[in-house]
Parts: sequence; structure tokens; C-alpha cells
Amino acid sequence: MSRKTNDFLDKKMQVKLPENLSKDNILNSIDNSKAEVIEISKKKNVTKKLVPMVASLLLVVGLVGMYFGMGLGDKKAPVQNNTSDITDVMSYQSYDKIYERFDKLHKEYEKNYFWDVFLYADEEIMEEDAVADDAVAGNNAAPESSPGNMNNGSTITETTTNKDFGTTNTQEKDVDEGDIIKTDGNYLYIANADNSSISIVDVTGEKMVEASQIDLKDNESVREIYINGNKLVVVGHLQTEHRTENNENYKVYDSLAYVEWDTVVKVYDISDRNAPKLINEYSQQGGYNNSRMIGTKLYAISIYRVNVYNDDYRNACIPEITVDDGACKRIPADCISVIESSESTTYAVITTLDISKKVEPESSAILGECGNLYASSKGLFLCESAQDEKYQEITKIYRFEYTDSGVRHAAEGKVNGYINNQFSMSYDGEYFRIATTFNKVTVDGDSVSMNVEDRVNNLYILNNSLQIVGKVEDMAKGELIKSVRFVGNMAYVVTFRQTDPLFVIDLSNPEKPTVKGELKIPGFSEYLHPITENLLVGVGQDGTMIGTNGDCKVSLFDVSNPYEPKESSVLKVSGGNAYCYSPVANNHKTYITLSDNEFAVPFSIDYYVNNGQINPSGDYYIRYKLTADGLCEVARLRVGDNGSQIMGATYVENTFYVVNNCYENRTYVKAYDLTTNKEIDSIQTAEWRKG
Amino acid sequence: MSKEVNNIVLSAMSGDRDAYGMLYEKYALDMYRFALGICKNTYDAQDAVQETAVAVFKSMHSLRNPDKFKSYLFSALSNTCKKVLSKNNYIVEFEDTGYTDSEIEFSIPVREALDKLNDISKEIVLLSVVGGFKSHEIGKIMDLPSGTVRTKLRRALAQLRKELE
Repeated sequence: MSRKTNDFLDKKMQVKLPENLSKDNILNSIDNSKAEVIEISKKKNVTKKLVPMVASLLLVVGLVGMYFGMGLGDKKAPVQNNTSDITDVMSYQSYDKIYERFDKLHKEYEKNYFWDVFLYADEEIMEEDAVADDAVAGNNAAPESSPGNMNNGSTITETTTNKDFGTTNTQEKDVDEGDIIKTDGNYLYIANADNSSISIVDVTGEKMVEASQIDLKDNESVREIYINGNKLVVVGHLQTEHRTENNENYKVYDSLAYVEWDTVVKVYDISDRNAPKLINEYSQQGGYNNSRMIGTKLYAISIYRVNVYNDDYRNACIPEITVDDGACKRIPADCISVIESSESTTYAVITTLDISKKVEPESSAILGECGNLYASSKGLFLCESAQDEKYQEITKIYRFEYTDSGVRHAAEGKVNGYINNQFSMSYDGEYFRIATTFNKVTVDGDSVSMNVEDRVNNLYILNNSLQIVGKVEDMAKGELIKSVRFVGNMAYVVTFRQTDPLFVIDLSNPEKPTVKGELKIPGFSEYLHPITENLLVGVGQDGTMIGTNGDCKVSLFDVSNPYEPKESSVLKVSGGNAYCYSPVANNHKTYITLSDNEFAVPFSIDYYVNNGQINPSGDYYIRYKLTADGLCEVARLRVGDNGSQIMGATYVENTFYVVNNCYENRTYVKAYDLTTNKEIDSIQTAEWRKG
Repeated sequence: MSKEVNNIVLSAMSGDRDAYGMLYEKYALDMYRFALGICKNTYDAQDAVQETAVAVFKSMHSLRNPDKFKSYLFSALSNTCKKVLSKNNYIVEFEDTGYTDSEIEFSIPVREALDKLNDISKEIVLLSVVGGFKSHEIGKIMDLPSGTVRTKLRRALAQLRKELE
């Protein structure tokens, strides 16, 4: 029905473009608007590769695909998921079933050429990988919680230091997350804003000194880094450009390239910080989505979309891994899990690399849409929103087990509603907990409707087969989940519409989770951080009904009595005089734990009227301290003006380091003395460089 | 988006003015139609399109994924339209711009039917019909769950159909 109506309306809405909006006029206004010159990106160097247009990307992949068969045979028997009622995920010994599926899809698409269906079907997944470049560091200062030496026993040499320094604020203590800044107490490791270099900065002396810089290749870019002993791991994108010829539509641009985004992992030996050595690298097809590191194992996930239009789709429809020596390997058939009910042409490719050894990565993939990652040391989960046959929103969950070599699919399940972010999930090895917001949809004949009042929030507990064993449903009618934190056997859920109810849910009986207490206060928290056993810090928006146009606040929630949670302190950031925003809302890694009772939160503050405030508009890190009387503000570090962006921060001993990206991709590292709260040093680690 | 468009987006991202011109040309009419639907008069609509076109060119380098160009363009346009609307919070009827109404305006019944929708539904319809976006893309642009978009779109289209048939 809608397609027809769309076309009908489209016809009725035809107009002519007025002359003043003609291309030439717009280009003139661009010229006259004194646009800052945007320089040619370094990454734009077109690879001198001439591939006929027909072939473009997929032929290359296809040729490479002739390595078909390599890597087969050394894998364990396929895992058939029979733990769940709905056996929707299968893996096979050969690629035949996968070919069948793509044969069918290719035919359908040929018949029904809606190019946008193909292109945009997976955009929500791709969105994930665009988010990954915000990042940061610092938390859980205690060195014993450093993820480097947890798990698996295969630890690698640690450079020992007695220094107190920041580690990345991760969701799970024993699962490291990539960031753009890492430190080991002696050096800072920074992924620069130009995306093509990593700086190692010596902070042992009085002044920061750049010890070395790793320059990536022209077609590589860094998204996140990991530090594990003497290994530096870079996770990023690899651009493969394929030139096209005979491009009839745009003859002028026929020398330009079609770009394919793959994910690259590079491991450097940094025993000598002045001269990092590349010791291992590989790439996997598909744009970078997310990664985790547990012990010495790196798990990297990319999202690979198969182009079913291309006649060469059969060669492209199995994702490949390219290792160090340039050899391409298709992921073995028995390592590919196929979601039978899905018609998706998208894979989530998961590679596992033991960075302590010079080995090739283990790879597996799941064919079907799933791009949201949660990982604990006990299991890895991918999930995705979908609609069931009754048009209800559901989240499909796929559980993966860690094996000696990599991961393998173990179970699947689904719950009603959609998740907020990775913090909406938790797994303790036995039970998987997930909190969702569910928009109930009413279907009446041909019409489907939704009433905001019918929106509810749910929490589900699932067993290892991903069957629901316990649940709390219909919390906070009409509201949305804004943040969730699972701490031990408790779940804290913040929902919002006009006020901020904080729900305290006891999960100790998995079959009967119960809401113990509820607290209603203005505003809402977008990030919850457990600071002690009974105290939670909430960072979020202050209470107004105009959404993000308000102030920010930092609250301290006392949950010692779960039946009666209290907001024991609330500190407002601007007092209502400014538009505030905290990067923590989207990037939990920018929350920095300085010590057991001190932390720092970044804010961007834009005063409505600049009438000589002591602190003008700009970016701040605000330090908070937990005292016997509650939470108090210690200091405001003004770390940037309006032209910069806080990317991350960490600390070593008594010095706080902030990474700022400024205009034209310059990266600055600023150092602040935590006693005086004054800026004491600053260096520029990357500058926009012409290609 | 086809590969060709993708290439051009990449060039435009690196500051190629002519490439941007080609992109603009491709989407200009749809942008204008969208702006006409949201804004109440042709001046505002033209202002919004022009302002957006200039601003997007200046911020092209921050676009990460060339596939997203069109979404990026229309989110920017949607924001600009709203800004323009709030700035000129008075009603200006379609004034003489040297064109006849039939050249610049949607057919009157469509205009009237559209105006009966609430702002959110109207924007969803315009993004779908004029912009050609899928519901999950509209969701991204408008910060709504895609299920909500689908529901609202379905309803709004049904309503429009009833009005227009």
C-alpha cells in the first residue's frame, strides 16, 4: 500500500527548482561564504590500480576467492544449535547452502531492482562502526584490575611499575575495551586524530616527550588501540580502492575509486618504545564494528555486506581473512553460522587473535544481522533489533562460547523490546540479563499503531540456552530506558519521560527478579557508574521537559537500602545558565576514575549569555570527590575551547592527561597537575599532513 | 547509493567543489521539495536549502561513511528547516517570486492534506516520499525507533490517501 501511495504523492509533489538554487548559484555561495579550505585528505591517494568497471571491487574479491578451500579441514565439527526451541542458526560442512541462499537473493534482486533495499538494509549495523571512533581512558585505578593479566594464564611480560595510573573505564573488569588513549604509567599511547598515526609519549620526565610515532600505511586508519605488556594492538580500517573506467554517468570522475572498507588488526612489539616493530597483522572483510581483549586474546568484529547485485556474487558471498603474507582465506564453511529465518546479506565476522604469539587469527562468522556486542570473560553476545511476525519489536540474541582457538556459536534467543547500549546486557557464565524498552504495537487489520503510553520497559533473565527463565515486565509505562548498570546480583535501570525513576531490581533469584525500590527525581542519568558497593554515580541531564536543552547533573545514588534508593547528592553543572552535554553519555570511556573516592567527568558547556563567568564556555573535565557529606566538586579543568573535542583522558600519578582533537585533525595532549589543577604541559602529537 | 555516487561523495569529502556540485544537482530538487513541505513559504524553503547546501559542503570532511551522505544531507536540511521556522515564527504566505504557483508549489490538495498531519508525521512522510528513505533511516535522521516511524508512516499515508482520493 505505501509504495503505491508514495508514488502517488510523489507525482503530486513535483515542483521546479528555482533559479537561485541552481548548482552554479549554490557553488557561488559556497565560494563566497569564505569556507575554510578543506584540504585533500591524506587517505585520498588513489591507488594506481586499473580494474575495469564491471569488475570493480567484487572481481578483485572474486579472484582472491580462488583461494577457495584454503584453511578448510582444520576446524572442529560444525556446531548445531539444538539447545533452543527455535533452531534457527545452522552451520554446514560446505558452502552449498550459503550459495543457494545468495543464488536466490541474486535472482530476486535482479527481478526487483530496488538498489536501496540492498544498500540500506544494514545501515543500522554500520552505524555502530561509525560510533567507535569516540573513545577514551581511565578507571579502576587499582593495577590488579588491569585486564592485561587476567584469564587464560598466558600472560605476557609486563613492564612492572608501582605507579598509580588510569586504565580504560570498561564495562566488565576483566574484559578490556579499545580506546584512543592508553597508558602503562610510563608512556601514553595515543591514536591521533589524523587517524593514520599512533604516538607513544614518554611521561617519565618533567615534560612530555614523543618517544616515537607509528605511521600507518596510506590506506589504513586507526580506530582504537590496546596495550598489553609490550604489545601495542591497533584496530582500524583498511581502505581498498578500486578504480573504475568507462564510467558513463560521471565521465569527469572516472579516475576515481570505489572504496571498500575492511578491518585491519596490527600488533606491534614495543619492548623498545622508541622503535615499535610490527610483528603481526591481518585484515578481515567488512567495516570495523567493535572489539574486546580478554587476557591476550583480541576479539575483533566487522560487518561485511555482500553485494548480491554483482554477477560475481558467488565469489563475494563468503567473507575472507587476509593474513600477514598476503594470503586470503575464506572462512571455513563449518565456522559460518547461518540464521535461517533471515534474508540478510550481511555477516558479522568475528576473528580471534592471540597477540602473545605469532599466529594467524581464528575466524568465524554469522550470516544475519547482528551488530551489538556485549562480552564478558564467560561469553560473547551479539544482538540485533528485529520485528517478529506480529510486527512487535524484538531483540534477537546470539551467544558465542570461547573455545581454545576462537569463538563458536552456542545458542540463540529473543526478547521483546530493544536495548539501549552494551550496558543493557550482562552475563555471569550462567545467566544472561538484558533490559529493554518495548513499544507495544497494536495490529488492527491493515493498520499497525503504537501508543507511547503503551511503551514499557522489561528486564529478562535467560539461561545458557537463551530461554527466558525470569522476567520483570511493564516497568515505567510510557517511559524509555536511558541507562542500565548490572552490579553483582542487582540491576539499576533508569527510565525517563518527565522524571527519572531509578529502579533497583534484585536478581539473586533468577527465576524471580523483583523490583525492590524505585526513586523518582527530575532529569535522568545517561551513564551509571558503581563507585562503592552501595553508591552509584549517575551522569545525565538535569530535569526539564525540553530534552537536551538543559543543564547536566551528576548525582550520587545511595542504594544501601534497595527498597528505598536515595539521591544523596546532586551537583548541577551550570546552574541553568548554559547548554551542557557530557561525552560520557555516548562514550563511557571518557569517565575517569582517579581513586577510590575521586573521579572526573567531561562536559561541554555553552553559556547562554557570556557575562563574564569565571569559567567561560568550552570543554571541561570536572573533578568530583566522595566525602562523608556526599559528593562535592573539586575543580574544573578547562581543557578546550569551542573548537576542540575531548577524545579521552587518563592519569599517571598526580598528572591528568587529556587528548583533544582540534580543527583540522590536530591532536593535542594537555597535562594538568592534580594538586594545583593547572595546565602544566601540552604537546601536539599529530598535525594535519598533506597527502 | 550506487558506486558512482559513492565516488563522487568521496571526492566531495576531500573538498572537490565540482564533485559537490554534481551531488547537489542530484539531490537539489528533492531537498527543495522537502523544504517546501516543512517550511511554510518558498523564501524559507529556498533559504533552508541554500544554507544547508553551503553548510554541508563545509562539513563534508567530517562525514565518515560515504554511504551516509544522503542521510547526512537530509538531517542537516531538516534541522535547518526547523531553525528557519523558529526564526520566522510568523506566517508568510507564498509571495510573488516571479514564478507562478503551479511552478513552485505542490498541488494545493496535497499541501492541505500535508498540513493536516502533525509535524512529526509530516516530516516522516516527506522523508519517505521525497527523500526516498527507508523507515530505519528516517529513524536515524529523526531520532525515533524505526518501529515508530513505520507505524506513523503507515498511518499518515493512509490518512493522506483518504484525503486525496
